[in-house]
Amino acid sequence: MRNMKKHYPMKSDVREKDDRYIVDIDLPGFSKDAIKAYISDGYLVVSAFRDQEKEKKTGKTIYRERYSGSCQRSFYVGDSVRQEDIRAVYRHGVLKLTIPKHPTQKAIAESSIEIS
Amino acid sequence: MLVPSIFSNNFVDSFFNDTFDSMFDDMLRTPFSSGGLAAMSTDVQDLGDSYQLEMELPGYAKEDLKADLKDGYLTITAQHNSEKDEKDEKGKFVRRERYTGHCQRSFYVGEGVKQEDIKASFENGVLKLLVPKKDAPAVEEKKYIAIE
Repeated sequence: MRNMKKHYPMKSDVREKDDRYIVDIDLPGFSKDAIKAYISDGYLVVSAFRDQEKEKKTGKTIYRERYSGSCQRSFYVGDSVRQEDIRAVYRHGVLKLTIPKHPTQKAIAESSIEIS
Repeated sequence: MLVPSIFSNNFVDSFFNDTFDSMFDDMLRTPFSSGGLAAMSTDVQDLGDSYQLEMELPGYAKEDLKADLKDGYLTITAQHNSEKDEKDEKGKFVRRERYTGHCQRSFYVGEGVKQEDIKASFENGVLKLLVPKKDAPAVEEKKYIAIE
């Protein structure tokens, strides 16, 4: 307990497979709709927004260790990766992104990555 | 007496450490440093008639969590039970920051609290526990010897 320090949110694991990268990002307490992921200039950007007003039943805070704000993190994936190649799943507070190494040639989509 | 055990002298220590060290931490810390208490970060709120604990446990399934009450301490244990579906997903780690092992944390809630009084829910990697406040058992009155 003595060594308690604030920690960075969005802790991530990146794993390399033969044909893809798998990125696991810790995002506990967010709803699926509050997480946005998109590709911008070769970077995969993941943002999570916290709706402060929505937090109901707030009492007197005795202890606060959790990060309660919004956060964003980006990963360089290269220019060849397109948005529609990335698969995203949010489960148990972890966002799992699967990024293929050899993306298929498709037109660039404007929308952000769909999180299932 | 009925406040969680976090109200120990550590509370003061960590408060001051945070204040004085944060300036240096911002310079030194990297996303890779786990810090001291990276896992199981918890918010505790006093809701008047109960305490609300919100504990971050990303990546754990409901079945991986265990909360039990013994001698006035509420202990939450998390351990991955279903490793089999993760196995084929394993690959070479390029970066590893997340903690995925076994972890446990205890809170003192008082001996008057019964297990069935505690309500627990788990959503989006956050375990929420509602612990009702129970009046402390009457403090035994000191019996003085009458001095004549």
